[in-house]
Amino acid sequence: MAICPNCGALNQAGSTTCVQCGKPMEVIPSWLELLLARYGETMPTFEGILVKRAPSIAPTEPFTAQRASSSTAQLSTSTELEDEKLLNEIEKLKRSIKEQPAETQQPEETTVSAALPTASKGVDDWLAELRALQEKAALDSTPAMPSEAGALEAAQQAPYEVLPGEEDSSPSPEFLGETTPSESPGITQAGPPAPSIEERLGMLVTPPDTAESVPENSAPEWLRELGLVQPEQPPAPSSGDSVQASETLGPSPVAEADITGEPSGSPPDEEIPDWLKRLIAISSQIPESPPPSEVAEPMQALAHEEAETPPVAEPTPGEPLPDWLRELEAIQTTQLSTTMPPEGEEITPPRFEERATISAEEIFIPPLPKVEEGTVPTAQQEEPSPTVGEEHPAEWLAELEELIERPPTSQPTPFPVEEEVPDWLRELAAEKPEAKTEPQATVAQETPQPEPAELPEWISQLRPTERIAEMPPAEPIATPLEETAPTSGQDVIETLRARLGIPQVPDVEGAEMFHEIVSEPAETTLTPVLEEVEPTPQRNSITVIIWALVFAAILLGIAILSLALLARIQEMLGEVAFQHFLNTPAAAGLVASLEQFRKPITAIRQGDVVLLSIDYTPATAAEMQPLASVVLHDLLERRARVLTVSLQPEGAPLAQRLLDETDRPFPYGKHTLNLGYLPGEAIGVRSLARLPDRQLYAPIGDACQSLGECPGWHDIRGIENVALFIAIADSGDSVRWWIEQLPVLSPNELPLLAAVSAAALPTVRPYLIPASAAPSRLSGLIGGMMATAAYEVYSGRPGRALNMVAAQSAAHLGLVAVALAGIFAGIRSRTGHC
Amino acid sequence: MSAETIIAAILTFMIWSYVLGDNPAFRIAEHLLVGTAAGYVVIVAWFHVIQPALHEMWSQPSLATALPFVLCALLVVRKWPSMRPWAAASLALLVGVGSALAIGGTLFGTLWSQVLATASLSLNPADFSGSQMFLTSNFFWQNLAILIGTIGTFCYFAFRVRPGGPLRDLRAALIRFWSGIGLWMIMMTLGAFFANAAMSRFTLLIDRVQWLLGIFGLR
Amino acid sequence: MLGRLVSVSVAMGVGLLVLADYFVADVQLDALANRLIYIASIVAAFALFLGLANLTRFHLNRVRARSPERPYSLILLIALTASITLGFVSGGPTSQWMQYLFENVLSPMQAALYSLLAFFTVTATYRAFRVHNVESALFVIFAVVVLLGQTPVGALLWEELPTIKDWIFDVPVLAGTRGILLGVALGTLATGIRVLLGVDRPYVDETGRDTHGHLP
Repeated sequence: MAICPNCGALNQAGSTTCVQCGKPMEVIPSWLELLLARYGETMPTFEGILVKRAPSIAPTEPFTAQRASSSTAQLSTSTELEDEKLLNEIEKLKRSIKEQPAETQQPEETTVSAALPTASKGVDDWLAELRALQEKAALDSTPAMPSEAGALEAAQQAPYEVLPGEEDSSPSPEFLGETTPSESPGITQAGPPAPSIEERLGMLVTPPDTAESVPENSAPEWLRELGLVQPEQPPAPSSGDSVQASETLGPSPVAEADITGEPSGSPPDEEIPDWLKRLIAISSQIPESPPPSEVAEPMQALAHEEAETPPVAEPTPGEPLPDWLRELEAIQTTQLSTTMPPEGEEITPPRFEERATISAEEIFIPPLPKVEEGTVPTAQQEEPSPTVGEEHPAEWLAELEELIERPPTSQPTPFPVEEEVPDWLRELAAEKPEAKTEPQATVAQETPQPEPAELPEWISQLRPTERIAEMPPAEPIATPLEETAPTSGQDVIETLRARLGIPQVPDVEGAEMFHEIVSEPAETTLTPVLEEVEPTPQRNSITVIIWALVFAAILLGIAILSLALLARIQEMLGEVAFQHFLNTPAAAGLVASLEQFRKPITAIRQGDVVLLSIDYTPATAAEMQPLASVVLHDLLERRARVLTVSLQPEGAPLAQRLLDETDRPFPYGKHTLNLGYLPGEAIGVRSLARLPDRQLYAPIGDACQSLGECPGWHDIRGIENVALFIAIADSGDSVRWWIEQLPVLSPNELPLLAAVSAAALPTVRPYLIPASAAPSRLSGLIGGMMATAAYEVYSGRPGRALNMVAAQSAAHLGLVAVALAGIFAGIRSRTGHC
Repeated sequence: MSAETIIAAILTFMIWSYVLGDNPAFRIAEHLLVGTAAGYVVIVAWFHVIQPALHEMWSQPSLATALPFVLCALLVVRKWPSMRPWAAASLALLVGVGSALAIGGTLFGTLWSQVLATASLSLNPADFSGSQMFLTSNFFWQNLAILIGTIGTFCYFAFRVRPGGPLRDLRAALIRFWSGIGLWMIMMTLGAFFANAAMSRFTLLIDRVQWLLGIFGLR
Repeated sequence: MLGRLVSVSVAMGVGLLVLADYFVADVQLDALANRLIYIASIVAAFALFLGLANLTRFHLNRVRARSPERPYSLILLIALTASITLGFVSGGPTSQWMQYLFENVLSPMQAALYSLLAFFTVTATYRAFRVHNVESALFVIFAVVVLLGQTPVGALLWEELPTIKDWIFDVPVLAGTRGILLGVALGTLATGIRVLLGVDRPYVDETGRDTHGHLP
């Protein structure tokens, strides 16, 4: 049973309006309070309006994975980042409307930051406040209605359709579409001088004629920017318009899902999606390490949310409550017995209600900077994120405004059903003739109830033992599923979701995952990460020794096996077999590419300058060094002068290593020079325009520090004096930079060759174009160990590549065998023979 | 066996120990590698790029020779927020030059040449050995396959936007057709890429194994 | 505001000058563009020092914070300090000590690290070579043919395999890679033009701006 905050009459549990006085029994939704608080607005005092529906706080509500999924699915990092984005948008918005001065701060009980415990506020504090509010609610026989109710009732004039029997489940965002002429009960203003939330929302939904009578500055700037202040609210929802809106603003999973909805005009019960609640939770300065009581709250909130989902099964009416809940119930009954019947477990401090509503997401939200208790957070406290959308907030808000002017949609919404609704809105709903409150029991009969879930052990351990007992227990009340269309408030949410790219995530998998997580024992869940990560030094050393021994044994075995097979492998696949292979038609392609590559090299005359780019690192030197070596030898044997450069910092010493190898017959300085590292990738290529000024990587005395200073190289005045360019690269990008930038450096037809790794070969292959087809400097391309081995054979200098042919062939065979095993395993797994 | 060879062999084993899972030996070697490589790269950059430029500035002091170091100094003062807008000038120069080189290089080095190469693939029967023989020419079918494959792959990457307008269904069907071909071509290409990458990595492994066998006298 | 204007002007002006060098054959413009490119190359090299500073700061923070990774960060810092000190003391990268460091520490570790990829290639082969549809079948077939066709083993198994491998590289792989290159080229063009026109300003790091430095 529920007690009316206005007249104290006894009502059915879950009733949204009083059967006696017709006043609503709800409070301001937490998200609205929080939103106002974020904008520095003050909130009206609602000390007397403390009646809440039981399901919101019912700790005995079933906690099943299905409902928890909506929380869990939003736990991903991306979602948190999106929350931050949205927060930053709000911060920006606030900054943009800074001209509207922040109004007088409300008493601590009415501000959002006070309503939510901060990090400095432990469980005792907020529970004490909770108790105080509870007692206050119990003693308040005639709760004061805020004076803004007049403005709100004026808002009831707006056309609005409510299906019979659905008004119970049609709370908050209905205020966007529901307007009624003011019939203020004449309650004196008890709130602050600043315009309260009811006034703003009244203005927001006032019809054109009424809105004109309201001073323009009476509507807060933020509401007008949000587009909530409308001269005229559209009447019945239209699914077509909704679809159009969703298409206009980009794909929205919700909007798409709503297309098939019924054309019902009834508003939803809950119009605040989870992500927005989580956003609100974030914006209310969640303590970095929540007090133990907050661990229990999320469970209640989850239980509350569970009731809003398609229930799994009918709950057993006589299902026993947990002990601690029974204690709670007993204490609550005793406390309230002086002012209300024993069934009045639905009286709840609004603060707790807010916490219970939003805390499901809070436990997973990264902590935000703490804010002093009782203060309203300001936009300056948070750094705006650089990852917000491209447009200024005002632009998307303008789009929002346009969207809100469209008729609300009428599709079913997947959002939760129950949500806090301000009393004044409940009152509006109650005054409508068709908005008759259906008994909650009827709804409960029609709706199957979810199964109660077991609380994990570690959560039970964290449950407050004494203070929590003062919280009002609530019986599980069935809540009807949301089947009605979203109103214009829904559009706001959908627009926000679409604009900010917040996806609507599926529920079930996330719920299962969440259930697994919370079901884990406390030892694993709550163990600090540092302790898990840091192994003991003793274990480390033992592990290292064991691993080293095992690894050495494995390697030794491989080596012995290889030795045993080496002779046979070498005979079958070694040098001789490869040379024989080169003489077969099967090697025609390899030989042709090699001959094409060598053609410009064989055309080199004595003394010609060849620029060799060593674009690889020690990581790939095993593959590239033999290739570079055989090319370099080929060039030097034709009496060419070779300059080396590198686009990699570690390429310069590798080039020096190459030149040192050929130093005996072809001395460094006379036949070869290393011009070192060219920083900046493509920029480095173009920096070769100052070729004579290039410093040598290994200067030869003081007389030969740069290319232009070295004797025997004075004829090199620029890149135009280079006869051939060869890129020896382990990546396609390096070759591409040369291909793209070299023609600018050298307008004459400087031929370009590329010797690349096998991995880079396919990416460079498209640049090998016949000269008749397109202008391309690349006139030859080879790559991979086999091409290197072939080059060694053709140049008559057998080297490392030829030695590796056998092993390479064997490795390829082995890999193909593994591939076939994988294919076979895949077939077996598909046919069920696992 | 020399000391340096033993050091190199031990470090190689430490890196390879990752095959058995992440372990302290690998992590020690990993951090040693990062530290050494970073230090070495900086030394190369200093002695081979910065020092010659400084020498040039001292020997021929002018705005042109000093400007690079003014910009480098701006990079350093980027640490202070008040200087950040000014410090962005050096990055702006880097980005501006890089963008210009990317545009020019891509336009003339890649886009133009690749488009021309694709457009020059002849499907004209006159270019083959007689008007009745082109269907039997391998080059004709090869050119056709390259043309279709290139267009299909390009469509797969470039036209993912849902078409609009009166003929949107027709356009969507066409794009779906070409994208399907493109997907097949991409899978073929990726298969070849994978095989060649495997070849490269096996070359590196074989080289290391042969080196180890050599230093232990097993080869 | 003025600083931002300067940086945008620098990027646009310098970029357009260098780009004009591709289209206009003018000696003075060529010299100016080459000078700008040279300046940019020095700034790019200096950026390596900033990277080094960031690396050092990160690991110093880990050491100070007594993170579990502290010993490894210490090793990194010691190696970094040692190599830099050695480089400056011994006289540069061509000195004997730096060559020793390069040949016996840097080279073997980098080579071993990359050779490690072969092991993962094997496991990836086993896991990825599952034929589920036409696309995966194409992937598997082409990979196996290229693997066998690259070595003489392929010719031993079937002498046409190397020829088929060559055809694969000359026709389907060429077409696929060319299509990818065209797409990448168009993307690069679009990105570069946006930067040169000041639409994207990745060099601007202003509070409250998005990462691409879009104008509000």
